[in-house]
This record gives sequence, C-alpha cells and structure tokens, in this order.
Amino acid sequence: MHRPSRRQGVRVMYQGPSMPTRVVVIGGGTAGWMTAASLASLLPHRADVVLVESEEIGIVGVGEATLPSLRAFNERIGIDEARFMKATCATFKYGIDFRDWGRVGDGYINPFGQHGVDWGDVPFHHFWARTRGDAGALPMEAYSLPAVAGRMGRFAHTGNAALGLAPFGYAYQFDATLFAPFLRSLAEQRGARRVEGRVVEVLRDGVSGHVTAVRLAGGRVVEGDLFVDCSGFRSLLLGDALGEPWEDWSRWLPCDSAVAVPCRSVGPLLPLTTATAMSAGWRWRIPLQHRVGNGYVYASDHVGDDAAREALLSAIEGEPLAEPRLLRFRPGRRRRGWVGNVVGAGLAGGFLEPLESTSIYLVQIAIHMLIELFPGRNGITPAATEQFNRQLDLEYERIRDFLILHYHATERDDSPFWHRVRTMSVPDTLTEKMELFRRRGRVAQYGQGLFLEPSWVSVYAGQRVQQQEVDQRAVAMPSAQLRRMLAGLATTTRAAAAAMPDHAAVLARYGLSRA
Amino acid sequence: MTGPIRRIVIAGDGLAAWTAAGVLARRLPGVAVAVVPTACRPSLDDLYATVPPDRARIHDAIGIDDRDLITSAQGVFRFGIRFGSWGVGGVSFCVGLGGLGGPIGGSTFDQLWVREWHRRGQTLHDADWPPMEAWSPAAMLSVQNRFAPPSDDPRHPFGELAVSLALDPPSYRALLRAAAVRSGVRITAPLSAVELTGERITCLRLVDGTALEADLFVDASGPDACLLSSLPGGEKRDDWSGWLTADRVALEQIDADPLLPPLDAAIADASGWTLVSPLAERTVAARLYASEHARQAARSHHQILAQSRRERAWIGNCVAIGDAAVEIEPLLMRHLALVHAAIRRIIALLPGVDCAPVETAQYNRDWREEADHLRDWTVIARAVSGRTGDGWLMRTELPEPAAAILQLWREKGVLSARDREPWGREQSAQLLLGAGWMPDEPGALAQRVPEQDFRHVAERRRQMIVAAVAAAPMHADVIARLRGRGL
Repeated sequence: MHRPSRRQGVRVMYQGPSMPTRVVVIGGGTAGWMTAASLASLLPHRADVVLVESEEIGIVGVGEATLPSLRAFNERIGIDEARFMKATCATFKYGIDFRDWGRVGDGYINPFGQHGVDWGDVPFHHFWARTRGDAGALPMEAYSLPAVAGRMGRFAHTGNAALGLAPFGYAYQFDATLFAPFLRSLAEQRGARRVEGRVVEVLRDGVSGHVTAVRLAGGRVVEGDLFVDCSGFRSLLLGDALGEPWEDWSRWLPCDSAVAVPCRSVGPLLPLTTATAMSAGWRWRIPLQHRVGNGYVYASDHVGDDAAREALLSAIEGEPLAEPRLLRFRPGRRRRGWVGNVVGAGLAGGFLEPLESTSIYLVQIAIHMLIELFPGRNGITPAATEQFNRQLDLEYERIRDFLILHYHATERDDSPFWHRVRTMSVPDTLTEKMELFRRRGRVAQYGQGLFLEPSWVSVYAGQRVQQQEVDQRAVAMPSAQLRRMLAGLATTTRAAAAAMPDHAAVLARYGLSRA
Repeated sequence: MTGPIRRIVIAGDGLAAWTAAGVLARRLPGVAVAVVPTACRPSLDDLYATVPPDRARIHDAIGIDDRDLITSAQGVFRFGIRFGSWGVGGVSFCVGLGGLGGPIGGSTFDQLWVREWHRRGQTLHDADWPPMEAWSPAAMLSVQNRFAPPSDDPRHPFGELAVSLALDPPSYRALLRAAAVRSGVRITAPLSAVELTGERITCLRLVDGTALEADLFVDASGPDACLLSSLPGGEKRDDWSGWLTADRVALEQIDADPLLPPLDAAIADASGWTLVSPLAERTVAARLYASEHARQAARSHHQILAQSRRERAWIGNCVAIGDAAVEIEPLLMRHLALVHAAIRRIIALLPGVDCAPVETAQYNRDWREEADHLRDWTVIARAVSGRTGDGWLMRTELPEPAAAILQLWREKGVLSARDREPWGREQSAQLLLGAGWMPDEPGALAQRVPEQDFRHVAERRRQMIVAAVAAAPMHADVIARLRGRGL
C-alpha cells in the first residue's frame, strides 16, 4: 500500500456531517433489531435506518443464554437492566454447567471469571493440577465464586473485593422472542422505521455490483446505501444474491439439527445454563422466570428426528408448554462478513451452535465493528471492509476452536457420535493449543476477543485434559502448605457464596416474578 | 531428556544480562544462574536506559526500587517523549504517558478533539484550539518541567498518570549486577567459544579453559548475539533497514539542562534525529542517521545498527533477549521494556530441559508479534514526520500492517486494538495528531456528543490539569531532594 499523502498546512473547512447513510436492515429478530437499535441510538445523524421484516416468517427464537458482553451492549445504548429483564423474563447467569462431556457422570461449570487466585504470578491451575488425584482433592469449580454460588442458587452483581478473591462477571438468560420487540420499540423511538414485507428480489447496480434496493412482495421497493443482512440462515443478500461462499465446518462440528421445547419449571431457579451431553449431541436447559427453555442439538446422521424429539421430551423436568420445534442448520460462516455494501449479522453471516452462548455475541461484534467502521464522506472503503473481515475472522475462528475442544476432549466412546468426535482430526490451531496445555498447562495469553485463558482452563480441567507437567514455580510450594492454602481458598469461596442473596430473591427485588 | 530446567547461563555483560540474571535467579526456585561476560559489540542498552511504568514487576523481584535508582543510578522521571521539529512545518509535540481523561459520551476523547479541530477549520499553524497534549497530564507536567506522582484518586487529573524512569546505564548496570550477585548468581570467566550439537548448545568454552554446561542459555550479548547466531538459522533476520534507514549511532556532547525536563527527546534534522535524555548528572545525547548520508567523517563512539529482528528468538536451548533479538532505533524508548517483557515471558513459558519445539514456538510467536508491532509504530513515527530528505526517505512502502493502521486512521480516526502493542491508544493518538495527521473526519461515535457538552467537559478537564500542574513541584527540585542534596 502506498504511503498516504500528507496535508501540508491546507485550511480544512469543516463541512458538517455528510448526508446520512440509508441503512436497510433485512430481517427482524434479535440480529435485526439489535442492529437497528444500535444504529439508531449511536449514529442518529449518520444512519437513516429502515428495517424490513415479514410477520409471515417465523423467528428462530428459542430460549437464549448470553455472555457478560451483552451488558456492555445494553449499557452503550442506554438500556436499563431491570426494565430489560422484566421485558424479556430474564434470569441471571453465572456460567454453564456441562454434564457428561468428558465422561458420563462428570459435571463442571465454565464460570464467568477465573478460578482461584494466581499465587506469585503463577496461574492457579498449576497448583490445582498438583492435587489432582489426591484424596479429598476438590474439583476446579470449588475455587470459583460464581460457580459455587451458581450451584447454591445465589446471586450478587459483584463480589466483596476485601476477600481477595478474583473478580467475576455475569450475564443473562432470557426469552429471545421478547428481546426483539423490546429493542424494536427502543429503535423506533429513536428514529428507526419498520417496513412490513417479504423480500422477493434484490436489485443491484450493474457496474459496481452493489445492492441498490430490495423489492418486496406487493411491489414496494426499498432503496438503501448500506444493507445489513439479518435474514437468518437464508442469507438473502450476502449468501444468496452476492453468492459469498460458505465455509463449512461440519467436519469438526457434526451437529446440524435442534429440537426445542419450553417446559414448566420444577425446582430451584439457578443462575446457570446447563449443557448435558447426549448420545448424538447435547441438550440445553435455560431457566427463565416463567418457564424453562430446552433443546437437543444433534447430528441427524447419528440420530433420527423422531428419536431426538423423544429423547428431549423424556429428559425435560416438567410438562411441555408447546409443541417441539425442529430447526436445521449448518455450522460455518460466509467467507467474508462485509462484501460490497452488504454486511451480514447473525445467522446470515455465520452460525455456530449455542454451546457457549455465542450467537448474540457474534451479532454484537458485527454491529460494533460496523459502527466503528461506518461509512463516512469517503463512502465504503476497502480499508474498512478488510478491517471488519479481519476482526470477524479472528472471533469466529477462536469460538470455533473452543467449541470443537468441547467435543474432541472426551473419553466417551459409548456411541458412534462420540467415537467420531473423539477421534477426528481438528484444526491445527486447536491441535497446537491442546498440545501446549497437555505438555505443561500453558494457555495462550490473549488480550482481545472472547474466551481468554480462564475459559480454556475450565474446559481442560472439567473434561479431564491433563497437563503432564506443572509450571516449575508451582512445584516449589511444599505440599502441606499447598493443601492448607487450597483448603482456605475453598472455604473462603464457599462462605462468600453462602453470604450472597438467593437468586430468586434478587429477581423478586427487581420486580420480576415467576409467572 | 526430561525434567525441569535447573541450570541457566546468561551470556552478556550489559543491562539485559544483569536484569535477567537477578530476576531468573529469584523467580525460579531451585535454579542455578550463572553469567558469562562477553565482549561482543555493545548494545544500545549501554547508551540509554529508560525503564517503563510497570518496572516494579521486574525490580521488585530483585529488591530494587525507585529510590535506589534515583540515588544510585542518576535516575530521573520520564513522562513521555518530546518529538522536536518532527511534525508538519517543523512543529514539536509531546507524547505523554498514561491517560487522556477517558471517553466522553461513548466516544474516545481524541476523536472529539478531532471533530472540534475540523469545526474550527484549523490548520496546524494558527490553531487556537489547544493541541492534543494539553489534555495529557503527563505531557503538561513535562513541558513545565514539573513532577507529580500518580494519584490514587481516579477522578484526579493525575489519577491516570504513568511514570517511567531514565537512568545512567553504567551505574544502573552496577546496581543490577550487585542485585544479581545478592541473588546467588555466579559470575564466570569470559566467553571464549560456543560448542554445539545440532540445534543445541552443549557448552560454552570460557577463557580459563573450563566448559560450562547448562539447560538453558540466554543470549543477552548484544546485537552480535554470540550464542544465537552460532546456532543453525540463528543468523537469519527479518531486515527492517528498508523502512528504518538509520544504521549509525554517534554519541554527542550536550550541555546539561538545569531545568531537568522529565522527558526523553527525539529531535529531527535533515538526515536523522538526536536522542537527548537529561539525567541527574549528565545528559545523554546520541545521533541516529543513515551512514550514506553522514554529515562528517566517522568519529569515535560510533555504533553500527542493523535494524532488524531475528527470525526466531528461541532456537533449541538458547533464547535471545535485548539487542540480540531485536535491533531498532530507540525512537519509542522501549528497549528495556522489551527486555522486561522477554524475561517475564521466559518465566511464564519456561519449558523443560528438552525445550520442546511446540513450547518454544509459542514463545517465538508472542515475541515476534511484539517485535513487529514495535517496528510498525517506529516506522509510523518516522512516516508521520514532514520530512522527506536524505535518510528520512522511506526506501520502500510501509510494512503492510503499518500502512493499514495509517489508512484507517486517515479515513475514520479508527485505531484497532492489537495485543502486544508498544503503547496505548492515547499515545498513538498523540503521535498522529501531534504530527498533524488528521483523520478526514472524526470517528463515527463522536457525532453523538453535543458539541457544547464536549467543549464544556474538555475545558473543565484542561483547567483542572493546568491547576494541578501549577501546584506540582519542579522536577529538578524533587530529584535533588530525593538524592539528599537539598535545594
């Protein structure tokens, strides 16, 4: 790239903001309304937002769990937590309880926050690894305040810093079909417009290839400068009209179907999502205020749809509250998320199964990058679209590898599905990471992006990926002292968790109650 | 060959070697550390020594604190770098350490500043909108030659202050060496030869005839990398001289400034730049230039600089740190910061005696990223100067990441965050804006903040900084007091 030109003492007259960019969001649902609400809130003068959705087309909407990053999203556009939770029947979430993954009978939590504390700059998991197999040794999660509190059904927004425990975060579990309307009213209040209709044609400029407009059933034409494709799996613009190639990841992630059903809630309201491994996939349980969301994510070449539905219905804790719904999907992504004047957000840009609650995160990242790189006076530039695509590459790849790890790091061999994922070859990037951990418990130090060190440590520890050696510095501590320090830490953690209020009571204080 | 590393030998005799020796000895229990002095070409560490704001992470391990450095190593404070005659039309500007007061209404401060600059239709020469550095408490303290420590109160103007220290290399070296000896480090006879088997160093031959074996060899011998370069592939480098054309360093004599500015300065001229770093008892000055544009015939005290990094810093059982790993002009004053980071990285990723390739590959990946990011920003610092004269002219296009950074900044005022950058967004913004590289339009989120609100908040912040700076003592007085010499 040639050296950009310099401006030498030229008087730059301020021209005021350029004409707003006409943004057309194709598709409602979570992705569409998150996009519309963000653009209307954060770029009120730069973006003129129209959202096209059809009430004919069903929204995917199954019970949804999220990551702590959603709180930043809400804060940024001025959404009040209590109002949001009331509108979406939300509960709090401290992490995910993974059952039967490494071995049937195993259970571990991947919490929002690191385990233990790093004594002398040495990552905690080395100390923990030393005690593995000892009589009375505790699982890794005993040293995580959110994990312990989650199991006890407790919740508090923050911890008491004076206790010297690691800080932690939290997220939400909510009814995604209620999030979209909540965002819609906010977006419309802030100037976004909704157009009812189904897209039947995508009109493009003959020279540039840019999308100029969409034609709806009934003839109406909606023009725009920038189009955000939130049309779900159909990917009407990015995949269909522009033909952006699909990068398929099914050889590593064989699940391609999900059957979902809500049921009546039985038992305590824990601030935890549960992911239970099944014979050909896994089952989610997402507790909301008014009901529990359930789903079985499975590989259809390993279990038939009827058998999968039966397996789900026999596993749920309470009476079903609706007919089970079936979804098909393909794991993977469009090679590029921003092509020409089309940006794909959500399922239209790519899909990874919700094993670590990343779907809304990927929408959020796409929106964040779009806003940062939003077209200005010089329109849509290669530098901007390349930066967008680079960042999305990084995020998708890291999440993909983290999900594959959950499947691959198993000792299970009790079904063809588990045999397949246990023995498959995995991306080089993941192989390297696992080898580094197996040798000496080393975990990559990221500053940016998702799934920093603590998440990887959770899964390794929880799914029996053992490190052959520990950090030399962790060896130096005498065993008796180590046992004492670990015992003290576990006690402090338990006491701190027990001192937290009851999760249901916190929800009640928010004026949120079980239906 | 299995088992933990128990014996580490460090080759070198400068700041990198002695820092590594003391820290490794203290932080790795049960490990014996020895230093083998080498007489290779001196490194830039011998010329100037600025230690970063997070220096305590290293110094605490060896029992050295800022007081020791001020009393025994001519230590003086540093709030950043002054780029003299660097920007458009020869304008000088500061890049201050630490924060700029934080975002306002969801927009970074620098983009709001840019919007205001556009609104006033400003050129760089008759701006009545203060330059970016007016909002850097570090920069404002330094231009007034004052000093204040960071404040514990996050709302105070000095709440986000960060402070480095500049030191006299020979006396700093003496302190580090003494700390290493106190930590049980053994000092051997000097190096005579390196003996290899394949990709591993089997032993070092010393001048007294002994053969010194170790599990891990740290090459801190300076730019010649006596150990690493003898290993297969060790002489291979990523050559940066196409972008960073200075290949000579010449010491200069400069009168001490009694005001003792708490700044390192980089002062540009037609064919190079001069580093000026005032210490307590003398001022370090060195000129960096391209030899093919030398003003005069070679004088004494010239160092040759081959701006580059090794292809791999860790080969077999040898890891290079300091100039042995990366040679680069000290424009961003990050040499010792890199040495500190390398030592922490060696500890955090320490393999077993087998130095398994998969483990050392991770070290090399992280190190390479850090080195290349420093290269990118050093190149950018050169590129944003208004100069195109001899020695400044870029022989080739910018490295692709640096070009992409400048392009995105120019278009949209966007700076993407990468891991292992040499400094923070606040410093990047001060460099680019100080030199006059304005984005064509401010970042998208700036528009949401009402202009009146921004001006009000900005002016209040600026006034608070002015007041806090005015109340701060003179840097020279603080140093004199800490050195026990009174006023």
